[in-house]
Amino acid sequence: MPPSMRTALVGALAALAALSIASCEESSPDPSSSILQAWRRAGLMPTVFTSLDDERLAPGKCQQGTVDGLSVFLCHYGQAAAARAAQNAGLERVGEATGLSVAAGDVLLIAIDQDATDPSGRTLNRLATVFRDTQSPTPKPGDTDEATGAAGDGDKSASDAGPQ
Amino acid sequence: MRFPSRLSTPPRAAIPAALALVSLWLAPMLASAEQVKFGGPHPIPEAVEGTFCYIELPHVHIYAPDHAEPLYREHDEQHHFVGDPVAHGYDGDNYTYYGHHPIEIDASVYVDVHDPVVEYCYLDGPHFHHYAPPADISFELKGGAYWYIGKYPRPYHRHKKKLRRINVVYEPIVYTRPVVTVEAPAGYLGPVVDVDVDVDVATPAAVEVDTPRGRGRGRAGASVRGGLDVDVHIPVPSVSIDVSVPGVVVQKRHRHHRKHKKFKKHRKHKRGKHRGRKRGWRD
Repeated sequence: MPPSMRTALVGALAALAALSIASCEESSPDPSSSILQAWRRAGLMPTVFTSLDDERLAPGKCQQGTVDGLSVFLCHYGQAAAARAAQNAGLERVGEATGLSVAAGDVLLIAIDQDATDPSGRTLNRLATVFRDTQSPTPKPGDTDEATGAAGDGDKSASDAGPQ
Repeated sequence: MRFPSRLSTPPRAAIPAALALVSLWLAPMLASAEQVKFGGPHPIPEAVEGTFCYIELPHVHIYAPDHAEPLYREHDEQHHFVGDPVAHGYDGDNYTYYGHHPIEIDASVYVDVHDPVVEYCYLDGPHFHHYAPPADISFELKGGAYWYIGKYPRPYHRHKKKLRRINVVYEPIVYTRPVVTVEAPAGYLGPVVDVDVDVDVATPAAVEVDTPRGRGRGRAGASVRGGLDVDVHIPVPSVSIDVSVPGVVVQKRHRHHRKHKKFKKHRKHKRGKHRGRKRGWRD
């Protein structure tokens, strides 16, 4: 094979490889983006999330930012078991503050109310429940309002069964 | 100037002791900064800002709960609140219950794993919870309240004496309690207490009485004639009455909000200092 042809072939292969890598990146978007979008839809205001290197959270790939004044870390582990195993390491990151470290799917969420701006925990709760529902949308048992009971006297009604 | 060596020795020896004392003094402060795990919403202790924490998922604070023993159940180091949230300022969705009943706690530390554990609520009379009854346990909705239908299993009785002290915690708290004005359903076998009765009773009702010394069966000593307004108030803790048959359960507003000073008056009476009827005593 003439050298010029060999060079052209190597160039074509390199271009092909570059194209395939680019298409791979397009097909697997940043997993944090779906969570950030879900938070925005829920009325929360996340800032831009940036990469973070924290040995305690290894081998997770972590990003940090803030959501409505709360410090938030999102770490991707690739496997659900690894994310769960990192929950306690996440609690170390919470330190001496109110916060949570919960895994859902292969993602670990760490949220910290560092400045005690959310004493009722309502923002933390919304943040965490939206994250859980985004990552593992299966409804949990007990979410239903219905109660199975013995035969009543007709007093039971749908309107009574719900929360007051 | 040089101190005699005999004098310099004791201070050097005292340094470790002093350090030990300082560390002992600091220990409670360091301990107070430790994380405490909670498994759902719960009241915030009085010493901390806020009234109620609404976080439904496992989380941590750097404070311990008030009244951990009767108000919480602990699983995997997580504290699960089982009391009446409305009494602590909770303003979210709630459900009305009457009397003792099973509750289902999600003891899982993982938000995508469900690990139900059955515990028991020992709150007397009408009260709120922030969760609906478990779907697989038999409840009847009557008079706007959920009543547990069925026998109470052994674990309920095992911890009843200890955990029923939860009513002592709620006794002095002033808040709008639920009002239930119906008879208990036929299958309800729990206690009926703190009843304001305004009814005609022809014959005394057979009752079961739980006392601190044991359980006995007897006959109520009072008979009520028509037209009388009888106010039966049972302060907690004290004798409570488990009505073994569906009885009249006419609930008015709870009257937990009075200060109970009658015991002091009673002592004065014993010492002979009490001269006649006190002002304000009921005729």
